[in-house]
Amino acid sequence: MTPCLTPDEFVDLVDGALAADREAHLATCAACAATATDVREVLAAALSADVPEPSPLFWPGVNARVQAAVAASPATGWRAWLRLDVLVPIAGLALVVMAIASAIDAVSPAGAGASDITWTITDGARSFEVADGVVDEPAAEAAVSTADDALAMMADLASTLPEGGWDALGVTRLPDLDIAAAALTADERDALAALLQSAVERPKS
Amino acid sequence: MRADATATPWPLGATPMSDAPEAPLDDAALVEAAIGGDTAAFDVLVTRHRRSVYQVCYRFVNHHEDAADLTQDTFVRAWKALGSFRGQARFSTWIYRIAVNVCLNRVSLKTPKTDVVDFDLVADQRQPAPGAAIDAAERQAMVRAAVNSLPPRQRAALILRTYHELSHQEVADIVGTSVGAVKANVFHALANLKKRLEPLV
Repeated sequence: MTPCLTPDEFVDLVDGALAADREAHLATCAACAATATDVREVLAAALSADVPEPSPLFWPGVNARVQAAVAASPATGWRAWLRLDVLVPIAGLALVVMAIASAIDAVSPAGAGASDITWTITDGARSFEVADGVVDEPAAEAAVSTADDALAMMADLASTLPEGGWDALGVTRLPDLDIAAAALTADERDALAALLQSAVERPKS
Repeated sequence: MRADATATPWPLGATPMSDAPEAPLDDAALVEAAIGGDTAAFDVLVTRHRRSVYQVCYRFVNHHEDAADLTQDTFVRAWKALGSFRGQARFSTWIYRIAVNVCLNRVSLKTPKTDVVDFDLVADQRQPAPGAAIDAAERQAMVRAAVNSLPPRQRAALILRTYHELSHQEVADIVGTSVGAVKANVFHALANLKKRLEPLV
C-alpha cells in the first residue's frame, strides 16, 4: 500500500494537480478517501459564499475617500519634486535657456569665434550683441521666431492647466519670454548667464 | 482579476488623461504615470482594483464598514509606496500583498494571537433551530463567519487561493512564505472549516 496523502497532496488533489499514481492511493485507503471527500465538500461550501455586493454608490465613495486621503498625505522623497509649482518654473526656465541658446546659435555670424559674441539680459528686453557689429538680419529674425516658438510651447503648457490652477498653485503665468527673464532672481540670472556663456563658447558645427 | 465595471467620474479638478477614446492603459502604464504624481492615473487603478481589494478585506473581517476602511488604507499605502513598486510582480499581486498586510495588522490588533478560535462564540447567533431549513443567505453568512474565524495565515491563504484564484506561488509571494506552507495553510483552513460548518457539510 502506498503512503497516505500529505496535506499538500490533498490540496493538489482538489486543484486537479495530483499525480495519477498518488491519486490511485485513494482507491486503496478509506481514510484518505474520506478526507478527500470532506475537503471537496467544504471547498464547495466555501466557494458558495459570495461577498455581499455593496450599494453602487459605495464604489465612487471608495475613490473619493482614497483621493481625499492621498491629497492629505504629503509627498515624500523625490516625488515631492514632482509638483507643478516646482516643475513648471523649472520647465519654463529650461525653455527660456533653450530658446535663447538657439537664438545665439542663429545670430552667430559664419566663422565668428566664440569670443566674438556676448549676451546680456536686461529687464524686459532681450538683446544680442556681436563684437564686430555685424548681425545677420535673417538669422536674427529666425532667432526671434525660435524664441516665439518657445513662448507658444509655454502658452500651450499653460492652457492645459485647469481654470485657476496656476493661481491655486501659486505659479505665475509666463506669457512672455521677456517677463520670464525679468522674473528671474539675481542668482537665477547669474546661472542663466553662465549657461548661455557656455552655449556661446560651444564649438560651432 | 475582474475589472470594476462601475464607472467613476473624474475627480473634481483633475484632468482626464485624454478626451479622445483610446485603448485603456494597462496597469504598468498607469503605475508609471502615478509614480510621476498623476493622481488621475492612480484613480483609474483604484477603480480597476477596488472591488477585488474590498472583497479580500471583507472576507478577512466579515464587516462592510471595516472592509471599506481597510480598502482605503490599502490604496493609500499603495500610493505612498508606489516608488518601491518595481514591476517585478503584477500590480494586482502587489496591491493584494498590501491588502493582506493591512488586514493582518488589523486582525492582530483586534484579536488575541492564538490559533484557537471558538466557532460557537462567533456563529451561534446564526445557528438555525434544529431541523429548520437554512436558506442560501444564512448558509453563506455562516460560511463567511467560519472563514472569518480562521487563524489569520490560514484565512489569507484560503481567501487568496480559493476566492481570487491566485496560484500557490502568487499566494506565497503575497503572504511571504513558501508554496508548501501555503498548501498546508489551505489544507488546515479547509479542515477547520469542516469542523466549524459541521451542520452544513
